[in-house]
This record gives sequence, structure tokens and C-alpha cells, in this order.
Amino acid sequence: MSVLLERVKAGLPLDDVQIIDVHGHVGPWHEYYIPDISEEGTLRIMDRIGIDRAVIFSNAGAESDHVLGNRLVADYVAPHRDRFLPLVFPNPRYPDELVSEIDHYCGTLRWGGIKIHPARNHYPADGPNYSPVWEYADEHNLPVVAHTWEDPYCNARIFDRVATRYPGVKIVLYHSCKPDYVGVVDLVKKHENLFLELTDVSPSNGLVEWLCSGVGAERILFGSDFGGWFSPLHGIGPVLYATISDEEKMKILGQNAAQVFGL
Amino acid sequence: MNFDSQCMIGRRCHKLEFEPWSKADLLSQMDHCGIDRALVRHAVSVEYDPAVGNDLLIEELEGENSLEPVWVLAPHETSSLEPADDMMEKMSVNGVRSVALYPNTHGYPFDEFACGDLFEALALTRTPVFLSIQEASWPSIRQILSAFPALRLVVTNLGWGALRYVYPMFEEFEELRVDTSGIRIQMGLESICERFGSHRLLFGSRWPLFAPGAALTMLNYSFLSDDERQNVASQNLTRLLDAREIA
Repeated sequence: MSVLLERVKAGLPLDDVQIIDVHGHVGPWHEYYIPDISEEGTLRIMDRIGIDRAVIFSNAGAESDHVLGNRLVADYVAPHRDRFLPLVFPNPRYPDELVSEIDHYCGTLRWGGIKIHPARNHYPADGPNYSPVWEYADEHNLPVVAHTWEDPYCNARIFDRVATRYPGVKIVLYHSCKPDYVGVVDLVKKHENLFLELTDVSPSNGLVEWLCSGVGAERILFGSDFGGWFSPLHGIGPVLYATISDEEKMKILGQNAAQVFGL
Repeated sequence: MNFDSQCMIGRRCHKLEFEPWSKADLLSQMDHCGIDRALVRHAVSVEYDPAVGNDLLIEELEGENSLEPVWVLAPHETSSLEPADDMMEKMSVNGVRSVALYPNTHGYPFDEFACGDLFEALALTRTPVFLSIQEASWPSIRQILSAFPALRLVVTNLGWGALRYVYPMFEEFEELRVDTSGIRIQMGLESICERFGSHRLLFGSRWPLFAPGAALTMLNYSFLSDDERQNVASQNLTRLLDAREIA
């Protein structure tokens, strides 16, 4: 009987479990209405279930102006650096700005890493404009989180090449190359520096268990697209209810993220 | 108590390796998650033929007290189903209190022209009608609810951007409800409850495709009051089903 699950069924905060949501958005999204995207609202939800920290980056970077977006994130996290770990969001379509932008936020302001979204920027993750990003991450031991999908810009084959080229860079594969789950399991087994992430993946019935059996709980990170997209409550539910051990759940919920992001 | 308004059993043409499908799978996961009852439709009704699947469902659910059947209907003129009034009676005989429609999948217009008799009978008998938003457009739903304001429509599987459609629809149509399976937006449940009332929401998981833990955690950790939570978790659906007029 899962002690954790019994508390979840009772709706109790999981304050003694380390929970780090590695996928959070700051700001509105142009395509739809989110009733509360405020920092206070997000913290309230985090506290409700017991999410200790959240890794965040800008929506503006994903849909509009990455320089504006990074600045908005800086304002957002300032009062609560202990709860939010910000990531810089570079746009490869502006190659002249890449290194200076990353260096300002990750170097000077000591942000937690780099987020890339090859699909939104319509630029492949292994393209030459992203090389300075990978090289910077490699040189400074920074994790990179990448939107992945079965699409021309950020699929498993592309990250096979990236991971081979930069074996020292920890790369978190947001959305686990959805829906190429077979391919991504093979990929993660091949490369020690790759990690799966569960945003928009965990709700698929049975998938958390299947990925666990494929790559091991040590290689999976919980994330939810919270804030400027979804509520963390939707994505965390399938992990909490998954038919895996509590020890495996704890790795996925936060222990793995603590190691990847050095928390 | 948790009463899941949207489950489907039966083999499907395209099933991923890790996805459950059978009645036994459903009962096992309901037990694991603490879901007490579920409305269930049959995949054969959706993917093959509504009449065949509806009959299979009755056979398979016989004796299962925690599972209640949902029949898939379509216009009788172009299907093997009975005319609307006869169908309402047949449903009552078989203990079926709600229906689901799949106009896109089954290739018929979701409008008064093609489905008028059916909507009239469903509205008259206060039969809850489940309709995935992937099966009809919001404009067509608006047209139907304008023509049949008493129709107890439950729109399911809302997409991420649904609130911009749902809010004006809720303003206009008192009998419109939605299930919670697709509501993943931050504070989405709370916002709907605050603006339109918790009676608009039915807990639904979209089993077998979605893990029930997603919708359960959204609800159990929400900022709804205890009464609101219980309404959404089971009481709204129970009231809706109990209100069906026996033909």
C-alpha cells in the first residue's frame, strides 16, 4: 500500500516530499485564457500540493520576443529566488544575441540553465546557430532543457546527434519526444546525459509506468507546463497515482531534478 | 465519492502498448484510484457500429454495479438504430440513462436538420448527452442549444483554449455542462465554479486514454469548497442521471 497515495487521496499537501516541477511558463499565452498566471497564484498552487521549487522560463520567448521574455522572468523571480529557478531562453534566429543573452543571465545573474524551443523557432536543435548554446552549456556545466516532439526540429534523431556531440551536457527532453516513446527510450538508454520529462506525457494512461520500466525512474523528471499553460495538479496526478513504488515516485518528483539542476 | 462520467471499454483499432482497454482494467484502476462508479461506453459503438457496440456493452456490464452504460446514438434514418422515441424506451428497458454522440466520427451533420427528432426526444426525456468537442464545432453546438434549450448537453475533452468558448456558452445556455477531463488550465475549475457555479462541471477522466489521477488531483487539490468538490466529483452527475424521465 502506497503511503504517498493514501495522502494524495486525502488531498493532503506533500510537504515532506521533495517536489520540483521542471517545466513552468511565465506570462500569458496568446492562444488562450488562463484565469491566474500571477506569481502569487502559482505559489499558492505549489504550496497546496507541496511543490518546493519550479524551473521556469518565459512564454514571451516561446511565442514572441525572447529578450523581453528573459527580462520579464527576471522581474518575476526576483522576490522568490528560493522557489523559482529561472532558465534563459535564447532564440537561434538572432545568433548575434545568443551568447551575450546567455552570459548575462546564466553568468552574471546565475540562472539555472538554458531553455530552447526549436519547434517554435523553426530551427533544428543540431543546427549551427545552436552550437554556441551547446558549447556554452558544456563549458559552464549548465543543463539545457529542450522542447522535443516528433517533428523536423527536435526529434529523437536530432538529439541523438546532439547528445553524441556534447556528452557532458545534461539535456532534459521536454515532452519526451512525444509521441515517439519507443525511439526516446532507446535514445535515453544510449546516452547517459539525457533525461525524459513528463509534461503532456504523464496524463497518457500507463505511460509513466512504461517509461519507468524502459529507462528507470532515475532518468525521468516531473514537469507540468504550469503557470502560463497548465496547472501542475493535472500533470502530477498520474505520477502520484502510478503503479510504481514510492521510491521511484520520489526520484521522478524531485530527487532527479535536484541532481540535474544542482539543487 | 467519485463518479467518473467518461470511460470507454473494449478493444480499439489503434491502441498503444501501455494503454489499458478492458472492463477488468477499468475496474482495477478505479479501485486503485478510489473511483466508486463510472459511466461507460463501448469502443465498438464508436469505431464499428453503435447498435452492435451498445448491445455488447449491456452484455458486458451485466451484474457490474459500479459501471453504468452509456449508449452511442446516431440519426436512425441512416443507421441501424431505432427511431428516437423507440430508442428512449429501449434505453429505459436496458437501464441506460445517458448517451454519447459522435457526429464527426460517424459522418453525420450535427444539426437540427439531421438530428432534430433525436434532440427533441433527448430533451423531452432529460437524457444527458455527452459530446466530445472533437466531434462538433462550438458554432454548431450553439445552434443546437438555441433550438433545443432544454437539451442537457455535456461537452467533453475540452482543449487548452476552451475557456474562451466555454464562458460565452455558459452565459447563454443554462443546461450546458462540461466534463473535467480536458480542464488542465491553472485555476480553470475554480474560475468556472466562481463565475458559473459548480453544477456546470462533471468529473470525467477520459479513461482509457488519460490516467484518472490527472483529473482526480486537479479536483482533490483544487481550491473549491467541500460542497463544490463533492458536486463536481459525483453529485452533479448523479442528479443529472436521476432526473431522466423514464419514457
